[in-house]
Amino acid sequence: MNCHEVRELIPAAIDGELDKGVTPRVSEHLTECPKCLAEFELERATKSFVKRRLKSLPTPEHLREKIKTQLSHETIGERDHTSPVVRSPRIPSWRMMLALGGGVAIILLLLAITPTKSRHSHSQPDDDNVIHQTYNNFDGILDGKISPQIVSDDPIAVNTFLETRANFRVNIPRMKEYKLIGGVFSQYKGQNIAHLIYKHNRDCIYLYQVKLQDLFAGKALQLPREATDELLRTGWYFENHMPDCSLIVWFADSTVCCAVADITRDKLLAYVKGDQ
Amino acid sequence: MTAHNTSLTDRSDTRTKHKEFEQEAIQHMDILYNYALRMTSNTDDAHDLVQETYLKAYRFWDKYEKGTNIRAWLFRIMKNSYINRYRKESKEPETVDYNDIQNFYNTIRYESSDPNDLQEKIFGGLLDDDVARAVESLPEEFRTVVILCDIEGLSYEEIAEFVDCPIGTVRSRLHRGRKMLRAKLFSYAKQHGYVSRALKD
Repeated sequence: MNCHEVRELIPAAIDGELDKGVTPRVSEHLTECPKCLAEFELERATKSFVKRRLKSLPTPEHLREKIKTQLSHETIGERDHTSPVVRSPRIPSWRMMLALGGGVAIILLLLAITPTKSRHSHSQPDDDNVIHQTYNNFDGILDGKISPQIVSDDPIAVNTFLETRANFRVNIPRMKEYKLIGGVFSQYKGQNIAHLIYKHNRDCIYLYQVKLQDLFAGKALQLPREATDELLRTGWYFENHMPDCSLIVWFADSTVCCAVADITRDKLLAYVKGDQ
Repeated sequence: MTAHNTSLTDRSDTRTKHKEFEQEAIQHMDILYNYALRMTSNTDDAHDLVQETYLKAYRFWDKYEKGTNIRAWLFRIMKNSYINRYRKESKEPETVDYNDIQNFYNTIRYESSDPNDLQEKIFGGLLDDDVARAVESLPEEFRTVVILCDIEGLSYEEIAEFVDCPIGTVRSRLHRGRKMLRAKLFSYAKQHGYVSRALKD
């Protein structure tokens, strides 16, 4: 073994992580090479110094209790969430969002959604109407003009990305064979909107989500009167732009969700309810 | 018609899940707390981060695959929250003057045979806060492995699972991380005048 190979293995030798096969060769080299031995001893000394000085601390009891109490008010899964978001997040800059990485691949534009088969347009007036915005965004997605800011099929990663920015509890429903592919956060006249994109083959379900309070305050975003009435009466509102294009609005916890897809109403309903 | 009607079976199901979560996840709070503390360098932020991690883990408990490493799962949720909330611009490794420290060790190698002894002489005067500050100054990926290995005592295999990279990468990050750390500690010791004092002794 030469010095270079041994240097690479020094941490393993210090941490007791050397493979049995190489151990004799490493120790042989260390006895013969004072430079590598010094390197080994320095690194070992650094480790033991840090270990001695920075102890692993126990979690403060009040934090532990606080978390347990909070959990007892929570529910598991994506249903019936009523508790508020714990703290107000700091909305980070766009630049920072671009710098995100880690376990989640953020691939802007690269993973633009490929346009689907030739199709009709859903185009609607560009105004405050949530339903119009949903159709227009859906077009944007199908045309590849809107791409996810976070590309991930991990609902926790997408949820964290969106909730950190949106400051409301974002629902990520499961849509059976439609796979979550990512999300977008945006603002419209100061109101936060979370968008989810699901795909199955070349078909797409798009979900627009906004805080119920924001919507009903009516400061910027609006729901048409008939949709609001229907929602309050039954919890659901349906629209068929074309026979094979459906839009559904419903209440989910503290948000209003608006989903659209080029499939029949019954199919879309089954997907958003996740019970088929 | 909606999912809002909670039936009795749902409720007992929830109780079982709650119990399961308490038994499996709560016990790993210490490692998450310590990691949060060293990553945010701030007790309040660390509390928030641990809290957020547990709430999220609980909400998505049905996404956890039974039998897989739960610590790694929780850790990844925390890392994700940390990235979304706290990570500023991705930090380039600070330029550290390795020559400075290397020259120093070369001069004194003949005088002191035990690096442990020597290191204690030079670094011994540093406060725990200095040491914490030195660890916290490391770029994130190096800091993570140093915390998990040297402070929390995890195996390479588990660290690799936590940070989702090969064992060889864990090893090389540790090597570089400790080297940067040593240089950092050395520069603090030099500022405090411990280095020249150690030489005189």
